[in-house]
Amino acid sequence: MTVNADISRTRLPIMRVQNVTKTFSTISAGRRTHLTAVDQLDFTIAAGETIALVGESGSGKSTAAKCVADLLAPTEGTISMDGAPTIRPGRRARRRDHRRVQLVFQDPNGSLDPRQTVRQVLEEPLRNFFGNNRGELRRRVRELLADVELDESLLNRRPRELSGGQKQRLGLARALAVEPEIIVLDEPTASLDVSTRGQMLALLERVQRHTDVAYLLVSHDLAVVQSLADRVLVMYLGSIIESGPTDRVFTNPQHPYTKALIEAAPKMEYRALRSAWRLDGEIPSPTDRPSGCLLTNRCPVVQPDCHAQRPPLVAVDADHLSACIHPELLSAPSMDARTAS
Amino acid sequence: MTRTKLAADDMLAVEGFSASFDLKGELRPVLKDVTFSLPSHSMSAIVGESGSGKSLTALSVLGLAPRRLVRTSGQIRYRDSVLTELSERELRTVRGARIAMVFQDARAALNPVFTVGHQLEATVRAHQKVSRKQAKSLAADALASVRIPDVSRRMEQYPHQFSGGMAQRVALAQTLLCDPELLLLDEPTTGLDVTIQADVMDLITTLGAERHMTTCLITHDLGLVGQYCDRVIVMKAGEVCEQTDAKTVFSTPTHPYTQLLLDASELKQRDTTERRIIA
Ligand SMILES: Nc1ncnc2c1ncn2[C@@H]1O[C@H](COP(=O)(O)OP(=O)(O)OP(=O)(O)O)[C@@H](O)[C@H]1O
Ligand SMILES: Nc1ncnc2c1ncn2[C@@H]1O[C@H](COP(=O)(O)OP(=O)(O)OP(=O)(O)O)[C@@H](O)[C@H]1O
Ligand SMILES: [Mg+2]
Ligand SMILES: [Mg+2]
Repeated sequence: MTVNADISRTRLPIMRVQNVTKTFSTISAGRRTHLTAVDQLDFTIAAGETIALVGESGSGKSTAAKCVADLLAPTEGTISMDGAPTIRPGRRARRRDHRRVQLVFQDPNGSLDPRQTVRQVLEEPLRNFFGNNRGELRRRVRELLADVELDESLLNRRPRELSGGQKQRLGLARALAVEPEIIVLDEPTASLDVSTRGQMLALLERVQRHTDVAYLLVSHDLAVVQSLADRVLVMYLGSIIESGPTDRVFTNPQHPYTKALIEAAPKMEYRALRSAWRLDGEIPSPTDRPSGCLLTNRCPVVQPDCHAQRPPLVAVDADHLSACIHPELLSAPSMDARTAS
Repeated sequence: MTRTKLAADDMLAVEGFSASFDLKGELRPVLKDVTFSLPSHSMSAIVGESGSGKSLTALSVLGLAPRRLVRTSGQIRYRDSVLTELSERELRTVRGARIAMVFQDARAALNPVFTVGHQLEATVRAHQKVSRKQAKSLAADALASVRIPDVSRRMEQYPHQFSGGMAQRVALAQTLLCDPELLLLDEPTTGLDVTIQADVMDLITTLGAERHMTTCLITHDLGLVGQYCDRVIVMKAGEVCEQTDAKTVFSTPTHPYTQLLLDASELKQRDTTERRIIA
């Protein structure tokens, strides 16, 4: 192997997610039905990298995030770190390897114990390393607070006495406590105002530069994704339908769903003109996924051959993949595209 | 103290409303002389930084603020009644049926031990005299209107089986079933992707027009304000610092804090060409 001057270009993946599928079985009208929350997910994460998972509500992002964090066992497929499979199908999800992957939950209220003080929240995971060495515990707690820029005066407060932004930071500090290699961030800025959001993003970047931690980011906020992520995975109905470097996916989307997602983002204007590229129609159920392309019933440029079979993810160029067999219709002006269909 | 008269076309007026947290006898002011009005049939937005008092203001309208929050001055008027003078019993007849709110933590508003269908049907039957069957079909329609797929199966599921964004839409559907005249929405779309957010906001706008609803949205998203709202109330540290037309906010914001919010809304894009990693 030749030595590359640019270190970031030669990084090997620290985690490999291969063909991960997660199904839930639910009972409906007395009959058991299977719901495919995540279907054959395939991606890698390298150290110091940020990957974003975006997609419609219910498309399987949180389920995928929980599988990566080993809080859910996949039904099929493997997730390995440095080559050794850590998570196999069927095995009950155990909190093993928690040290290497940490999850910061979507809802900070639900994941913080209301009775614990800030100090207790942070000391708990640290005891695994330092036991009851009070001096070490105190030193590390202070370090963590400094990392996330929380004031030491908050140490004795309980979650309800913290603002939304402070709770988010505490969640991040708790995840950092065990020095993980990957942090899964489920909607880290959802409840933050725009100024706190900016601070949180700057903080995440700084922590990443210092510790080389990788982030798997789940977010509906496309501005956040664009400012933080190196690569984006776009999910629809459990499957990745497009993936690639953030700038290329955003400036040149190759799938009609991605295009609709990007164009639906509200602009910072009064009554901005809205794109005609919109998805109508029923959102299909994950218990009954269309057999051809998953978007067929809502796609503005659907063609007869789209129903034939599920299009695989194929490379558009280098590391930009898409599962649309008619990308040429995406560049057509939206209105024409719509009438043509 | 600033006073605004409840103009004939105002649905709600908050007038010089101040409130403090009672911390074991010591009063910590959190809402300071809050004054704004919601014109009838308008869609307004309250924006402002985290902790500025947006949720507490909305909760105060419904009389649902934490017990420790004590009003120190001012009043809240709704049509002909002064809400801040009503007894708990009187407030209860207003709440839900005439003024309804979707809470910031939508999932917490759902009961984990009952199916979603059961909860929605109960809401219908609490507000309308209809048969069980009709209640069920109205509940199903409400779920479909907020873009929940596969309604009949979803009705039989429990809240934990819904994704975060779906639970939020269920809470919205439940509120819309009450057919309120004044609808307060605390961060109704934060967990939703932008395509569904657009659908949900279009639904709120259409229903608002059809049913002559007055809507007030609490949000961090100025893009949403520009797209859907007529009026904007900007709060900072417990005070209203600007109240104006949505259009004006984007063309000529007067308060420096409003300008700050607009600037902070635009994020710098990450330069991925520099950091590209081959994995
Ligand atoms: N415990 C469960 N039992 C049954 N179904 C579930 C369960 N957890 C998730 N699901 C279903 O799996 C699908 C994917 O859910 P998931 O929470 O991963 O979505 P998401 O992409 O995170 O959505 P959101 O953006 O709304 O949070 C949904 O249809 C959801 O209802
Ligand atoms: N139950 C409570 N006890 C003590 N203080 C509280 C309580 N609820 C809210 N506060 C404080 O009152 C202030 C206003 O809170 P509020 O919830 O109205 O803010 P907000 O504008 O809705 O913020 P966010 O955007 O984060 O939801 C904050 O400083 C908050 O910490
Ligand atoms: Mg989720
Ligand atoms: Mg709030």
